[in-house]
Amino acid sequence: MRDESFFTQIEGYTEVKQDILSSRKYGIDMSRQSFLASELINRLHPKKLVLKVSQVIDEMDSVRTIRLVRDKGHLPPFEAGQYINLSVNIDGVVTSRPYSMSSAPSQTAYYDITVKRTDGGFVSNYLLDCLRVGEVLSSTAPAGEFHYNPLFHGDDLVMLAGGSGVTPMMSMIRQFASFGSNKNIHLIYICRTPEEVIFHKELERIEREFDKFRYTVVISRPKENYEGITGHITSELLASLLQNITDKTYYICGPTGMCDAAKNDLLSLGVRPGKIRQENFGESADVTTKPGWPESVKTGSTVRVKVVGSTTFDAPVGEPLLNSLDRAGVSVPSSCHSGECSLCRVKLLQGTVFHLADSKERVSDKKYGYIHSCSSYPTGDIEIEI
Amino acid sequence: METTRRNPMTDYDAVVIGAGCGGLTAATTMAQSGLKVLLLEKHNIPGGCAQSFYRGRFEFEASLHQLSGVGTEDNPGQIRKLFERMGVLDRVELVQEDILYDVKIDGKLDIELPSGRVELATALKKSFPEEGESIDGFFNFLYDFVYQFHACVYGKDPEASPEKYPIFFKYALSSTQAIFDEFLPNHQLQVCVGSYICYVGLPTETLPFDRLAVTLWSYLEYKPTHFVGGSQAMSNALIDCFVEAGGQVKFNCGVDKIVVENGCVKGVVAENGQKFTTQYVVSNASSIDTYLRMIDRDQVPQEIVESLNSKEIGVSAVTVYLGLDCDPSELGISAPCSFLYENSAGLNELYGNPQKAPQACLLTSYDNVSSTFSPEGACQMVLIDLQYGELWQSIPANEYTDVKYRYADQMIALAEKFYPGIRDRIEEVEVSTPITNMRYLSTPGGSIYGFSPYSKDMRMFSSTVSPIKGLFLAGAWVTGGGYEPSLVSGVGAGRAAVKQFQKRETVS
Repeated sequence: MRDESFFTQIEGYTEVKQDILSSRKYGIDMSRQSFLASELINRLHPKKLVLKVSQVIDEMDSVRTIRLVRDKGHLPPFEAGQYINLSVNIDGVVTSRPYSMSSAPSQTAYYDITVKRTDGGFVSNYLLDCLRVGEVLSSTAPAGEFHYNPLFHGDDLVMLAGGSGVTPMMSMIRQFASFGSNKNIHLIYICRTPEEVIFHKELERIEREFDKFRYTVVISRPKENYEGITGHITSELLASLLQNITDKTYYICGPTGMCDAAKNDLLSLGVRPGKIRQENFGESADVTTKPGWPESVKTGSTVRVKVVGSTTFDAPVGEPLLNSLDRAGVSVPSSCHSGECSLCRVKLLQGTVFHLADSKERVSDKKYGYIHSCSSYPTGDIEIEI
Repeated sequence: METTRRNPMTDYDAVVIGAGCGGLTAATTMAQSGLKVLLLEKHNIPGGCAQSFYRGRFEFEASLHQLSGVGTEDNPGQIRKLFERMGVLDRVELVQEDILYDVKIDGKLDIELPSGRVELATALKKSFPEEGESIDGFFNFLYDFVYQFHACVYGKDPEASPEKYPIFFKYALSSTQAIFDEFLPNHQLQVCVGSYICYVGLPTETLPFDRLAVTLWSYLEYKPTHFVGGSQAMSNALIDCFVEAGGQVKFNCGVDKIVVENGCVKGVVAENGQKFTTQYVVSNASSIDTYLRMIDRDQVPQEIVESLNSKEIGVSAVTVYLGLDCDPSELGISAPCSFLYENSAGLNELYGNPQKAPQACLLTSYDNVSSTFSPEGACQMVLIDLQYGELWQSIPANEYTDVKYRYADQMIALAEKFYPGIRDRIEEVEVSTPITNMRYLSTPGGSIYGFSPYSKDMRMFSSTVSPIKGLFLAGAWVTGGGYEPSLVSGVGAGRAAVKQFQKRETVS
């Protein structure tokens, strides 16, 4: 540092010196600034939320809504359509899955998640069978890109839902209904049987009360005397139900197969890809049947996973690496479980994995072998670093 | 390269807190000097600001607009030299621009500014033929100023005097506006050469001219640069260099505490309670968090507290990331970087306010420079204007999303004045605000450039050496914001730590 005699020769130094002295005398408390920042972030985007089950609502046979509240403090705000990644401890295995809120974001006292029984649904079935009022769970803060975006989604919205894929749409519909909205919303909801249609009564009521909301149920496995629309979502069906097809924004949520088919239908009808928002839900198809999966690697066998500096374990072929890590008690942060958020990024040091097509590793991450463990499936013994 | 641990009494020779630009270069410098170094990062990925993220099929650059100080093989700047030394240069692919930026003032001016002093002056004279003399005068002054400032402040010329360096002693503390008024009175020309105030953190009336001068000079001499794969490619390369040199990195591992006893660093405690002993810590966290949150108050000299309290939290930003489903040429975009101004707006409108429609912004779109940034037939566009976190911190939580989208909507409307049709091509969009920056950068006010760089806070008036033995700081909060200063600050901190470490080891 230069000495004072040097500075005094600089024009304007006297004023600056005065500034230095007075700002030191009348400074603000910076420790408060640090505190304010962390308080605000804790309120809006806490790393972890501790939630208590306040109510379990039977929607129907295999579907329940679980109402979650926070003991202390407010729930962080979310955008209709977003999810929380819920952690559960099932017989000592800590694992997590994302669940969309079905309640409207204007309802700030609780988050509702609506869970449907699925074959082999490790977490969903646990939530349905074992969760009791008063139980405490933890989750991430709300996240996700599947929500209305006022910057380019416009006023004409079409929602294509399959099964429990209706839950994020329910949040959006409830939000619009509670405020009365200038948006035209058409929900096209496909289920196997009429008995599987979740929120049917409420949706019918909203349709009665709001002329801007239209509700169409499509039943894929109807009984003989069923009178409504039947079959699958096809481009013909969409063309018959919708006008000005290319001017609308589409939200698709449901099982992967249904989502992909619906998206292709819309593309074939001339809808721009950016107008189609998609969130995959529910049972994901057997990964070993996907194109590109090495034939020699069979379900039913196991691969060895070595985590540097931690542990080595056997993982079943066909299971996402993230789930295997959870099972082995190796903690990796996660959120979206669909390859986009990158929280579950780990480094692959040895071996090979199969990536789901929509797993989005960054260009430079690929170069150094970083993978998203939620959408990577080991195809042999591997070594990773967390 | 020796990587064995030299001090058997501690877990690590040095611990680095934060894998931002400054933390990464500090960690790599120390590891490559043979120290056993642990780098702790609270997020799951390195880079701090220097990151990218995916939305849909677009990998968006989070923060790098133009990297300064790289230069060419024949004319290397300090960043190229630093990258070469560390091994980063072999691991990244650089893309250089011949254009600094376009300036567009609605209904008034549309000009492309090339990099290079002569080229820029020529281009300006072509658009402002009456101003030839003042343009030449300004550039002469700029280069003299930078040379003299460098000699007096960084070179510490012992013979420095008002006779030897008249420009330094007369103008070193002048505001940017004062220099403009004297040397470049034409307002449109001020907008042309002054738009980089966006990269340094204060409006012209309060911004000391040296910040703008050194920045502009560095881009003119060394050309703006990018990385294929974005700044994440740089961050990942630095981690790779660090690990190759024996460094250890832990992600998802924030630091709660730096243990200081009797004025000396003893170790750090991670958020998860894990303790690591060391005698040397380089903190890439904000100096506010480092001193006022992580260290016990009775170990922080009052002088430091007073000095921190005397400063002002620097500016943050609102950024709109757009993924568009068309070629950039379809929207008429050719320049990678343009500063857009409403008809009546001036330079200082680059500093916005959530309650008011934006009057100016910076638009970047690199797909013209390299085809590697977006998928084929698509392009990205990023709009940014600067905002203070304070203005966003007071917005109630239930109104925040509305304010964010309303402001972003107005920014898109501003950009559409110059490039109509943007909105119809949107495929993905993400908006970040000072609150977002607060979350991801963990800085007070979401500041992206550290403290506001007033004259009184110029580095020549204060020592950057910490009174706490074994503690070093790196990053924007000690050197001022931007990639170049942050990367360089880490090397400085790392070297200083190595020097002390080696001295202490020799003595004992």
